[in-house]
This record gives sequence, C-alpha cells and structure tokens, in this order.
Amino acid sequence: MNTRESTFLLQAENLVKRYSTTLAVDHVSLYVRPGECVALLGPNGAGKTSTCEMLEGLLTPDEGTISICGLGYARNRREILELIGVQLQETQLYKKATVRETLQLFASFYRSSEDLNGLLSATHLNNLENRRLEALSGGQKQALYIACSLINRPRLLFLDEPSAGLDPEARRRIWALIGQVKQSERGIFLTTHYLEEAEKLADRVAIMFEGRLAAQDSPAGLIRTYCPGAVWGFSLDASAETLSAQRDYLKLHLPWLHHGVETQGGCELNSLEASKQIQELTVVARQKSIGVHSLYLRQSTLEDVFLKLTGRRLDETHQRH
Amino acid sequence: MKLTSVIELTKCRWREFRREPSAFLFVLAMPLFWMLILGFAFSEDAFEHYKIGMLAGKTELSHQMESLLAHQKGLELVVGDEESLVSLLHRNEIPLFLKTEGHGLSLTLNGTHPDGEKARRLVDETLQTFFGHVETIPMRVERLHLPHARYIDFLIPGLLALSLFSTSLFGTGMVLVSSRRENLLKRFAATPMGSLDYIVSHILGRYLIFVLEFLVVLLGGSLLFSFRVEGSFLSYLLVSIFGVATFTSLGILCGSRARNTGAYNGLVNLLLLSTMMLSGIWFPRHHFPLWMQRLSEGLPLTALVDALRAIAIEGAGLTSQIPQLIILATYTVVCTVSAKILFRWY
Ligand SMILES: Nc1ncnc2c1ncn2[C@@H]1O[C@H](COP(=O)(O)OP(=O)(O)O)[C@@H](O)[C@H]1O
Ligand SMILES: [Mg+2]
Repeated sequence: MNTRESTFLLQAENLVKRYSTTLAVDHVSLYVRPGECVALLGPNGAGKTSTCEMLEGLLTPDEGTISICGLGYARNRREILELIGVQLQETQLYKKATVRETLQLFASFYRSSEDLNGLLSATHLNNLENRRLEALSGGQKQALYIACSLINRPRLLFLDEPSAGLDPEARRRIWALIGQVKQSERGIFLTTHYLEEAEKLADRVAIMFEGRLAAQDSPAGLIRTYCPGAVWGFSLDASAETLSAQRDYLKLHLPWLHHGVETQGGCELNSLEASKQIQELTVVARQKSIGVHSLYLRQSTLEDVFLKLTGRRLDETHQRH
Repeated sequence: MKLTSVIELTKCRWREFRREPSAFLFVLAMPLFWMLILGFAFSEDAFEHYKIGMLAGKTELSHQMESLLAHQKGLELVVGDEESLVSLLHRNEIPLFLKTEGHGLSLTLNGTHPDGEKARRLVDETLQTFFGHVETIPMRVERLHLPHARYIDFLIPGLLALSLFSTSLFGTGMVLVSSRRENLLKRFAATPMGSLDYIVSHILGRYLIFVLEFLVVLLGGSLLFSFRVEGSFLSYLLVSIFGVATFTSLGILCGSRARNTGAYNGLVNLLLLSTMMLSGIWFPRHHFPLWMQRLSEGLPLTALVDALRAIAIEGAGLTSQIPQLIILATYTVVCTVSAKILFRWY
C-alpha cells in the first residue's frame, strides 16, 4: 500500500468546495503518476479552477484530502511549493519587467532553479528576453507564464487553461511546448475546455461537469467505454410537414433508431453495428420511397463521450460566454 | 527571509515605478509644481506692500508719526502696545516696528525678514520727505535676527510631507490593490517566497522612491527659492524617514484587503484631501477654528509637518519634537498590526 502511494505525484480524495450557495466541487478524486499528463476537461463554471487551486494549495478544501509526493499542505506547504510549478488561469505579472527579469524574479524564490538561457530557448522566448511584458502578445505571455512555472524544475506542473483565449496558431504552439515539457519523472495536471487540447496532450482525461467528475480514463478508454464503435447519421429528403411522419415510420420499423439523437433533418447514432443498420435503413427507406440524402459514418470522439455523459455538446455550453 | 528574493522583488517594484513615465513624473514634478506656483504667487515682492508696527503713544510726535505713516502708500500700520508688537515681530507678521523716544525715534528691525530692509528704506524715505533732508529726526535702530519665515519656507516642508504621504498611499497601497486584483499576489502565494520578503521589498522600494522625493524637494527649494534648513539637516532627514515609515504602514493597511482599484482610489483621495486641509499644508493651522486645530493635532500628517517646520524654520532640535515622533510611532505600530491582521493575498 505504502509503496503504491509513493508512486503518485498527486493523490486527491473526495474534494469538496462550496462558495456560499454554490457547490463548486462535489466529491472529486484525482491522481497523477510520474510521466503522466492528466487533463480536467469541462465547460466554464464546471469547477476546474476551484479544483486546481485546491490542489495548488491556494484554496482550502471544505472536505477531502490532498497529498503531493506524499506530503500534505497543512504540514509541508513550503516543501510542496518547491516541488510544484503553477500557471494560474488569470495573472498579470509586472508589466514593466522584461521576460528575463521576470524569470530571474521567479528563480529567486526557489532553492534551485533551471538554467535561464536553456529555459528561454526551450520556451522559444530567447529572442524576446529583453522585451517588456506589456509588449508581449497573448501567446508569448502564455509561453512566459509556462516558463515561470517551469523555473524550479517542478515534479508536478499545474496548468489552468494554458491556451484559453489564444488564436489557433498560438494555441498549437502552446501545445507543442507542453508536449516538450513532458518528462518521464514529471506529472502534468492541466484543465481545459478544448476537446482537442485534452485529446492531443492528455494520457488521461477527467470529464468534469457541474462540479462532479463524470468519468476518468484515457481518451481511447473513454471512447471504448462510452461510445464504442462508430457514429453515423443521416438526414431525410423531406419537407417540414412530412419529416416527422417519415421519422415515425422509420422508427416503427427500425426500433434501434430510438437510441439515436434527432438532428435537424434526421438522426445520429452511436453504435457497434453501424454498417448493418445502414443497410436496414436503406431497405426500409426504399420500400416507402423515403429519400435519404447525406449519410455519414465516423469514428467516435471525446465530443461524443461528453455528449453522452452530460447530454450537452461542449461547444454549446460555451456559447453563453 | 531570503535576501535574493527581497532584492529581486525590490528591483521589480522599482522598475514598475521608474519605467512608468507618468508615475515617475508625478512623484517628482508635483512638489516642484506647487512650489513654483505658490512660491511665486505668494512671494511678498509681488505686492510691494509692507505691514509695520507703531507703539501707541500720547506725545505729539507719536500722533504725527502715526498719521504720517498710516497715509503712506505701500505701508500698513498696526498700532499696539509693546508686547503685541514684539509678538508680531517674532511671528514674522511685521518686519519692524517704531516707537518714539523723547524727540527721536527707535526702530526695531528683524534683519532676517525678507521685507526688513525694503520696509525700512520706505520708512526712511517717508520721514525724509516729510522732515526735509537737513533737519532729519534722530533714529536709533535696533536690529534683531529672528528666524526667517517666508511663505515658501513654510510651504516647502509641507510639500515634502504631502509628497511622502500621497506617494505611500497611491504608490505602495495602490500597487498592493492592483497586484491582488491581477492575481499577482495569488501567483506569488503559489511559490515558496515568504510573505515577509514581499512586504520588506515594498518597504525598501518605498525608501528608494523616498530618496528621490526628498532630494527633489530639497534641491528644488534651495536652488529656486534658497530654502535652507535652520536646524540640523540630519534631524530633518531623520524625521522624514520616520514619516515614511508611518505612511508606508498606513498605505499597506489601506491596501491590505481591497481588490477594487476604483474604490480604493476614491477612499484614498478622500483621506488625502481631508488630512491635507486639516494638517495645514498650504496655510498655517492657527487660522483654523479651535476645534479643527485640536482635531488635526492627532493626525500623522500634522505631526510630520509640524516637526519638519519646527526644524527647518525655527531651528528646533530633535528632542523638542519627541511628541510628534511619538504620534508617528504610534500610528506606525497601530497600522502595522492592523495590516498584519487584515491582510489577505487574494
Ligand atoms: N470566489 C468565488 N465565489 C463564489 N463563487 C465562485 C467563486 N469562484 C468560483 N465560483 C463559482 O464556482 C463555480 C466553479 O467555478 P470555477 O472553479 O472557476 O470553474 P471553471 O474554472 O471550470 O470555469 C462557478 O459556478 C463559479 O461561479
Ligand atoms: Mg477556470
């Protein structure tokens, strides 16, 4: 038991956080092993930042325990802070300081620190080292914040929405950077509301929705468990009046259609027997001369898993923001 | 405490100030601006109008002198008894007074009053025009050297105190509030850097800015208005350093919780304007109603201004300013302790 525990960089059990009336985090348990990148995926307001800040020792959990490399915040706070690297969701560092001066500042806080020149080139900031923060683009700033979180060669790195608000190009550069930062001894815990980010970077994805963890597994494992097989769909060549009648007719003859989701002009299904179902559909449709136009078949993705688990699409939940 | 952290933090704090042209100019230019505007506006040269004293007498000569001088253009005559005239002279409200001595006159002059010589010349000319050049009236002149007091000499220590006060509240306090708002303090809380290091760096940074403020007010005053400190310069410096400690702790207290820079700004402006008026930065406090004077005596800004003026104008020693230093020290302790209790990082 003991030897198993020490192999975890992070182990959190049943974390709970309440803000007056909101239950922001509801009995969440997480762990990170060395060499592993864990992504907490969820829409805005899911409780990602609250979870992250509890793990970073910035928020005290109302319930639950946190152990970082076998240490707890209550007794070994300083020791833990030497071991972790943190990038907060929203921070403004000194605007008038240059990139190099900022890294020097953070280096001075730790017992030992990364070589500055090495870190600057690893984060592609070497030709910006004398630029002031106020003159950096969003992506460059984000790269610097990640560099600051790496200054103490952390065993465990926390990144709270590392690419939020960046344009796709800058986002890809940040992903490449995080990919480089992965090491066999280091664990990464990141939060994101981008499926693609979780899919690209994470060895394990924890899906969070309304304060609770809906599932936790590797991306492939999640798909295997919740959306095995393929996703396929079709739409009908029908006017608005005839559409529902046609759909009802199909459902009557093809009972498996009840497991699907109605889309604008048709239906979408996740199934292990996609090809058999497609054949059946064509047969039934021909008998009744129902026109099927646009038929598609694709692999299921995390998006489908999210939809299945929460009943919503991840990008839908974002349109409010 | 980790020295390298303190140094790096202090450097950052200094850079934020030094590399922000508006903050830099504001701190340096404000005292000079007021000095120039008010120094020239209230420089007595601008008026060519002197208030002088005359001892009330019953002799014919007294009456003659009284009516002569009272009607002279450029002179304003205050007639009173000896005691009140001496006190006016000491308070620098008049540069000289006259009294009759038998058939002659005696003139008591404060040689250090900036208007002394000019007022005396005007009195001489008035008398000579009246009595004629030959048959002039005998006059004994007694020359005193009282501490000088031009408005500018009164103003400059006040401007220094005000500058130390406002830079602490708008500098130190405001930086804390905006750093909290921008999650910088939270980011620091996620590092092993100790909170003491951070606060110490703010105090050091404040003293770096103090050096500049002090030099600007001192050099500006001495070059533009030949201001000088009558008392010990070291005491003047020491009292200023004391004042900065008080105001820095007050600034940290004001910035110990707030996240909202706008609200903080409003609060500090209110505090600044009211204490600035009550502490008699611009005008002597003895013009105020008594209750207001009592009220203002307990303010730290008043204590600092009074001590600086006593040293600069009256040449007072440090020991005579102990009551003021006690007031400042009390505020420092109370503010530091409350800030420690109230402070939050995020
Ligand atoms: N300081 C706070 N006070 C009150 N409610 C908060 C506070 N911080 C977060 N919340 C609420 O808790 C929930 C989770 O927020 P957060 O952890 O920031 O989620 P996420 O990072 O996933 O967007 C949200 O409903 C949010 O409004
Ligand atoms: Mg968040």
